[in-house]
Amino acid sequence: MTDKVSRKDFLMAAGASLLVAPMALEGLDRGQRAPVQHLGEQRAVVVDVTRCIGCKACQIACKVWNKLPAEKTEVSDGEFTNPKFFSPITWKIVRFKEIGDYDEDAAGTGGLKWRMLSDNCKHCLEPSCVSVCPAAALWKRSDGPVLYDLDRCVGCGYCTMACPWGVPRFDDDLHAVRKCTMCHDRIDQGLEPSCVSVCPTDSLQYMNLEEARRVAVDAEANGLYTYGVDEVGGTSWIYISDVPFSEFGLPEYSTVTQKGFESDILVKFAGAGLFVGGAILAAVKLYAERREAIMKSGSEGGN
Amino acid sequence: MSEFVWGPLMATYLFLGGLAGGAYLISALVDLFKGEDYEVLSKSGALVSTVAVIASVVVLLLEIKRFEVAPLSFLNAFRQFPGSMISVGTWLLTCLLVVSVVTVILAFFGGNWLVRKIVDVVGIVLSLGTAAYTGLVLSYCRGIPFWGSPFLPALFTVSGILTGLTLAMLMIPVAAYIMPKALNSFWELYERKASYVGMIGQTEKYCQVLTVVEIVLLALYMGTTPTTGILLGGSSVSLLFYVYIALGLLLPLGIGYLNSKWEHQGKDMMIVLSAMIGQVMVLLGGFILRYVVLIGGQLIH
Amino acid sequence: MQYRWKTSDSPGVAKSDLSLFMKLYNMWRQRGILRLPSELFMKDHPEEDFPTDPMGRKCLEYIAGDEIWGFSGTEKGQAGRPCPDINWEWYAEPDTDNMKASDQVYAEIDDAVGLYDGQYRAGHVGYKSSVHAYDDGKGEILAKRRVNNYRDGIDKEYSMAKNWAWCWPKNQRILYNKDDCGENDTMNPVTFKTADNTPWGAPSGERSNGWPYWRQGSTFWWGKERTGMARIWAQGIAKGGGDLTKNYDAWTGDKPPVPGATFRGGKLQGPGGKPMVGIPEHFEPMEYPNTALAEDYPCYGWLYTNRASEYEANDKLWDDGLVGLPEDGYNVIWGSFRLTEHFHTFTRNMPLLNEMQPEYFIEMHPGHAAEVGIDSGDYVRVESKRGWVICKIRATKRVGKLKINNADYWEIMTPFHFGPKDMAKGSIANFVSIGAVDPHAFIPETKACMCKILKATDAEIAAIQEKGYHQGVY
Ligand code: SF4
Ligand code: SF4
Repeated sequence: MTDKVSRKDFLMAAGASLLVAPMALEGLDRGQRAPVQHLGEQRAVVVDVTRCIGCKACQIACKVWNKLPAEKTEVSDGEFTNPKFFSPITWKIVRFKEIGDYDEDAAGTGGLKWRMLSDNCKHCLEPSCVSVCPAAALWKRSDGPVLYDLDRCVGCGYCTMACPWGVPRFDDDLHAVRKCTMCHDRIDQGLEPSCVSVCPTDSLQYMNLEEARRVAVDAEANGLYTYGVDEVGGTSWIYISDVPFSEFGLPEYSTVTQKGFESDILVKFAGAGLFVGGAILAAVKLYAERREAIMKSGSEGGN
Repeated sequence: MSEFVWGPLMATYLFLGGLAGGAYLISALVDLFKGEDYEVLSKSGALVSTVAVIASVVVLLLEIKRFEVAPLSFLNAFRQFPGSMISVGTWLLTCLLVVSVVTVILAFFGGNWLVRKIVDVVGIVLSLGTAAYTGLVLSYCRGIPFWGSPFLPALFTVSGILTGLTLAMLMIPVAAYIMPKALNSFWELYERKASYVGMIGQTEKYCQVLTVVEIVLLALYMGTTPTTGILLGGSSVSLLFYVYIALGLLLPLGIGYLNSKWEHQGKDMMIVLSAMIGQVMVLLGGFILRYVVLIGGQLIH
Repeated sequence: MQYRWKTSDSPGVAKSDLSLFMKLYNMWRQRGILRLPSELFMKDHPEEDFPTDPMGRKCLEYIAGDEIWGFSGTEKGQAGRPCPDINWEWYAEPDTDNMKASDQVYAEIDDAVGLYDGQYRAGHVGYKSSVHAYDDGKGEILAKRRVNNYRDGIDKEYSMAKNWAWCWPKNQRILYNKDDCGENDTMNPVTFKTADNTPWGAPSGERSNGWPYWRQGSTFWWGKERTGMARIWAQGIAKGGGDLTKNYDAWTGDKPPVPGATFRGGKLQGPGGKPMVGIPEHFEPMEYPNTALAEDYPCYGWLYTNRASEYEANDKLWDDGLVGLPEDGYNVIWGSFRLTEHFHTFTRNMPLLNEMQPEYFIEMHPGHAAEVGIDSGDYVRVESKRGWVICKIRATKRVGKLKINNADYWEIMTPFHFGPKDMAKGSIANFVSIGAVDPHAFIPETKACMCKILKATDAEIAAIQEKGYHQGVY
């Protein structure tokens, strides 16, 4: 009954297995083993808030390229920011902010400013998340992206706390974190990150870090605010704005890196520990002496 | 954020971790410096430490739930040893567990005197490290400014030692009741009320010193951290914070004072009972402290 | 992306074979096994390979018959944007020197529309060029401009900073225009004057570019054809020219402007009544905020029609009591707009878009919201004579108080994309809007009307939270 398996069936089966083969590759561990992966010179993205028109193309492009599903959201405040928070399936958020009021300016132009900031993982040069991860599940690529390996994550959530901007978020199904990858899979193919490639106003631009820093310096010379040039030791996403970044809820950070921050705390803690330990010992000793003295006086008094 | 990444279970983990460190520290110190008189306290401390380390690890695994997806993934936490505080903590806890178990074995089944002392010394380092780790792990979080103070680890360390000592004391009568046969020495000590009361009197002095230090550190911590308002009023945890101050700090101080009065009047049973109440309050306070700091920090995030 | 109905559901959890192929496709794309032609082009071509536009900038263009697709990949300033169908031979700068200021404004806007349409519209009368990829003066893509100053008096007049990105003119509502028909006023788009400064309406000033115009002695505006331009103007900005005011006598002569016209609240009377005083230079909408103003400038709908049906439609609205008067408390100005995130009402089944704009809302000034006693995210009842909807509010300073005839009026704005079905539910905005018809342009006034804002009751909140929408008509 050999003719039961016709040539057509065979070819179909062979074709199908060829098609499915790449799917099997998905399970292979492609993870990086060291905290830093050397891949070329550091690239950066400049986000120019003054050019952003709030079209949210970048937000959508991120979800589309990374195949992230939509979240259930609702209207909750006056701004168009939605979703409001990063989540395992929302890696990029365009934050809208109204600043001022029309009434402030009789001319009706300068009073109310409506600004949008395209926010995501900053891909720090010395990432806090990489530094604190106990499993080396996160690592830094020298050309920019801070990546992670879901298989390696222990699910402790430390990076969600340590990241200065609360970027990595917990996936409730995987019990592991997910975040923006700076489209490393596009960068590898010689493309820009997805969000950058769709921005119609060049609010997002992909360039070398030095170039980006020059842009930032120029912007500062023009009286604009910048963010990310040396915050937490510098980031790959450099922001330029005509309004202070605190308006968008980006906290002010010093230039100290995570390692510097850690050793600072540790040194101070050790100092405090020595002091407190000494104080306790002294207190105990004093107490013992006093107790002995009381006992002595008590017994001497023939009580 | 609508929900907290680190919830009550994580607070329990930090609490138990600090407690384990503290209990072992007491056990070892007592063994090194007080010797025979306080042997029971030393044993109790080692036991408490062992159980608390195991419990804390179980609680941690329950909190991170990752084992549901990848059962062995927690082994990865050993990878970044000196770099990541959690990795450091994982090693510390593991070593402390080993040391505690060894101590328990040595204490209950007898062992070389020198080995015991060496284990004690190693254990002191580990236990101090563990207690400090529970605070350092929080204060390294840059994204949560509320935790970023060097006084937080100091506070947690002192609180850990305090709760460890307290639970070790509390366990003596409790364990004696539960397992009078197995823990014969506990029972004996407890039956000789006078010596147990004497021990309470002694340890309570230390407890009071520690509590005062804790209050000072708390004040320092609240003074140096940027967003203290979270705890002081308006948020869902501020009430708990006041509960902690009242029940976890002030009440035990008061009880200690009363007990020192009663000590001369021979009210043994009263002392044991009120001390137990105070001890439970200290433990409760220790847990609430962890919880309040943990949740309070994430609230503003 | 298009929404398509599917013929039947797959059984159980089975997925269509398409989903398997989509998965494969995505995976290949992610791994770089499969590349889009645009991506290949970007990778394989050095920068010098890019063709340039007349401004000397690099641009990828679609050339019929060529294999290159119209995506410009990663080139700066062109990132990812399709430049379809641009044939630069057709391209010429608009001859702005010989244009009136008003022409310039609309030339620009119209060119922007042309760009949006993506095609050269050969039949377009009046301008030599149509597809503006760039602002020829500044040499910049229009959408890239970020200047929030007014360029000149015209911009200031209409409160439009035209150097900010671009305007999408067909989505623009001009509720009020200044009364600017003075002799020397060249800013009014419909103050047409010929080169020798004789008014456009004069017999010699015939125009044939399709704009509506006034002929002395006529009883109506002439329009060659109803171009998009004419429609825009006729809807919002229909005004008389400066000289027309003087010549109004001719208008009210033997032929009444509207057969049988009467204006109930205002002064415009029918043929039997007193003649009107002066030709209105501005027309209030059928639902007006300020009675005094409406009496001076009655609704266009009452004034003129050559099609009885429109007039009757308006008449019926009034007779049925569907027009709210400010005296009855309809004193909040209601306007509708579109969201960038949704396209008409079609996209409410697209999860990613719904995520960004999940439900129907109205925008209110925080001060207004405080007056009503609510806050962002609370529910209100928006009510007109025609219907009511329950919806959430977004308190924002982008809407505010309008000063009309020296009185203050709150303004609210609302998107119209929502309805009771589909994923992103919401009440229907047009339950509130008015169906009055502009008799010249034949389009309804659904972009602006008057309404009342009330705090939603508990029952209404419960209803909308359960159904996702809550609305009704009177
Ligand atoms: S922004 Fe946060 S998640 Fe991104 S690299 Fe920096 S620390 Fe890591
Ligand atoms: S794509 Fe560009 S213009 Fe649009 S929201 Fe993002 S940054 Fe702003």
